[in-house]
Amino acid sequence: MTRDKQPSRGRLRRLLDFLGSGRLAVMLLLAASCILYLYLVIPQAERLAERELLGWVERQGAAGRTFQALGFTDVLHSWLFWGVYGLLLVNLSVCMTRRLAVVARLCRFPERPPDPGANWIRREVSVVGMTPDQVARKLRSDGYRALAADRVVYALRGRFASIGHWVFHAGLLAILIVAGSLAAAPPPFGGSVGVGEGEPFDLFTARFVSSNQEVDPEFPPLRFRVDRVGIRVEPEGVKGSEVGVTSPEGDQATIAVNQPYRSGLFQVLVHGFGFMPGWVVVNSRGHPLRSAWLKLLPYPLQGQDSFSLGSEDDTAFVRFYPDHQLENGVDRTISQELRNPRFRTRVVWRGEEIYAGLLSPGERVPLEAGKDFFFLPEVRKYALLDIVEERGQGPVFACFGLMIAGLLLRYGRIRKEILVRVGDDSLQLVGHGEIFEHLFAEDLDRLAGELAEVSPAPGDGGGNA
Amino acid sequence: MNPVEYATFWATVFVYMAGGALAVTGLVFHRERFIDFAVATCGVGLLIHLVAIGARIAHTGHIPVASRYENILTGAAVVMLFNLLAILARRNLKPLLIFAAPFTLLMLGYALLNQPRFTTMSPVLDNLWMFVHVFFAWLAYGSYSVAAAVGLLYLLRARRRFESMSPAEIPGVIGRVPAPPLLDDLMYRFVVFGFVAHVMMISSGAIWARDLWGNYWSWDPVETWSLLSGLLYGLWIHLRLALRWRGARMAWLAIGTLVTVLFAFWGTSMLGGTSHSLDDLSLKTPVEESGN
Ligand code: HEM
Repeated sequence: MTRDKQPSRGRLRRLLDFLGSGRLAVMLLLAASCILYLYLVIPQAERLAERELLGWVERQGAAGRTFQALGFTDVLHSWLFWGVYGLLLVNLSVCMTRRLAVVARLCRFPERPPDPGANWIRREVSVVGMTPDQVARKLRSDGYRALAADRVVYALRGRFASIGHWVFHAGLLAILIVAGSLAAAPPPFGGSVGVGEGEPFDLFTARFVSSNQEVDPEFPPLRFRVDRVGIRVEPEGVKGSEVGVTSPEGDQATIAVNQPYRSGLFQVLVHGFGFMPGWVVVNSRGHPLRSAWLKLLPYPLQGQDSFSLGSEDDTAFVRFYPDHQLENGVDRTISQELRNPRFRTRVVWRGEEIYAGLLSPGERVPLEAGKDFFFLPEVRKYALLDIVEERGQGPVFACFGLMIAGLLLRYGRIRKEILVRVGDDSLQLVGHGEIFEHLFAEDLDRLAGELAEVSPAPGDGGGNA
Repeated sequence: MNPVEYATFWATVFVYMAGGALAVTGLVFHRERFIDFAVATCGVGLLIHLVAIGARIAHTGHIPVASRYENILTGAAVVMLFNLLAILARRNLKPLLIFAAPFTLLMLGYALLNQPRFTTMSPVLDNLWMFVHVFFAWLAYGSYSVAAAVGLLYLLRARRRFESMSPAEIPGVIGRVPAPPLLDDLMYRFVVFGFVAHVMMISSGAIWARDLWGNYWSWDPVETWSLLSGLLYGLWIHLRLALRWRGARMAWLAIGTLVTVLFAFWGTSMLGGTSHSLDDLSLKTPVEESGN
């Protein structure tokens, strides 16, 4: 019975050794790096429209199809990613559990001087008549905790360094768990809305969601009022946007770039802003037939300066200049203030270009032999607000804190041990420095030199290290 | 660039070039004096470099982090500064310049390719966490660059033909650099320092991103590359700690990983779609060039 059990216990131990080993950690770190590399260089489903991705896969031929079959085109949701992730959790947990006792032991200051290990470095200094207390005092002044016993002095510094990597690993494990469970959970609520200056209130009661996310029927409406939208312009350019809101509790607040508004689990941020000209098509009697607001970016990208009047054939291309100046036939804007607003406009009506020119607000373009008119009566400012549900950010930041604390513990005060045997006319130093062994050897040389100078023996010239 | 920045930028380039040439000549022809001159020359180069940065700050009114060009201009100064500080702390590391000078020159060249035109400081960047984030990024990359430079010294010093020689028998400056095991420790120390700064950079970036985008992590290409380089340095650390790798392969890895890190910082624009290009919010005003 016992004989039967032993080999399996040996196998289990070997398995645990492997699962908690640095060797596996190395393999997993390499695998994780490769996954991130794939994520960066292979087009990913979450960054591309499905059609574009399929196009890419087809263009790559067999390689593309293999990548797709292996999950490389959506690597963050692939078996590879979750496999490495799971193994990382196991690796860290086993390693930490098994190291706990060792780490705890290393944190204790030993009651008796330990025996030096085989890899401890030795130095000898000729000094006559030095007492263990003098040696201990010197070592203490160097930041060591020293114990003088008989003719031996034992000194240790950085005894808590050993928990450093344990704490770092704990932070890492925790972040993996928190981030992993957040990633596996249904996506949090997120939405986006462009709020024009002067638009009234309760904008988020309508549950705006970005196009690719489901509306959560349980979503509690965030009833806050948008009071004002301002675009801050300074002499050197646009400096941001400020949106004044009244919170559900009736408090007045300002949302600006880097200054979100937080309410419970929700956060509202300024994501962008710009000008918002309104366009109208009126009939000859001035009755509006169609109208809309245009949301332009301060520096429109290609394709963002056109809009459709209704059908594919009827399009107005508008580029807006808040402070227009014509310089050598080229449109320029002098500042971002609405000082001389102009619209460089091209109107295509029933498939034919019927107007191309520079419009001022309110100026009309006749569309059909004086029947209908197109014009841009007014320009307002708008801000693009994002609403995001916060999840697990506090714990994630706490994990970052743990990781940093671990690193500072580990490397801020490295573990060093020194044993000094105090002889009548010499000191024998043996020591060991964790991590940077050869830098420690330099340290030991310096210490030996300084010890030789502490109490030069009469006529001895101070000894040598 | 304004005229002062333009003049000092090019002066920096030429002075670093001279420093690099002196260092390489000193190393190849075993002339230690040349390397001493190289250190002094690069020191002067750094001062001029700082004037170029100062001129830019005076013109734009903000710390130079608002564009790729500004980031690299400052990053190059940090790399040179770190290497010179390492030399100041250990005089026998002065051949570090054979790596640091050409490397800094490459950075400045790359900076020039990235449109040195003036931009206003985007409100996106106008944030305390941004300063913390950028500060740790500089510490990390500066330190990694020294680790790679020490790696190169290691490869030169630990050549097989020097194995049986005492330091005094090794010809030229290489005989006077620290012994290979010590270089190995130093390389590790710089990697570790960089790694600590790297973790702080990622953490502060996450805190900033939360205020800016509402999310601490969004798998943006720059974020992902910096996580990848963090993992690679983590791997480097474990190869040393857990597998007890030492010596030449670690030196090669220190150099190779730096290349990855640089790609992380600047190369991702090629991949497109990064919010780290800082254009995402369209908040930047391209101010017209005044000279160049
Ligand atoms: C980046 C992600 C990391 C992972 C996945 C990871 C994982 C592991 C694992 C599983 C082990 C083996 C267990 C053990 O021997 O204690 C290990 C060892 C170790 N790790 Fe990490 N670790 C990471 C980062 C770090 C960092 C940044 C440090 C530095 C503070 C560190 C310090 C150590 C140390 C000192 C050991 C012990 C090596 C030995 O003596 O064999 N680890 N790591």
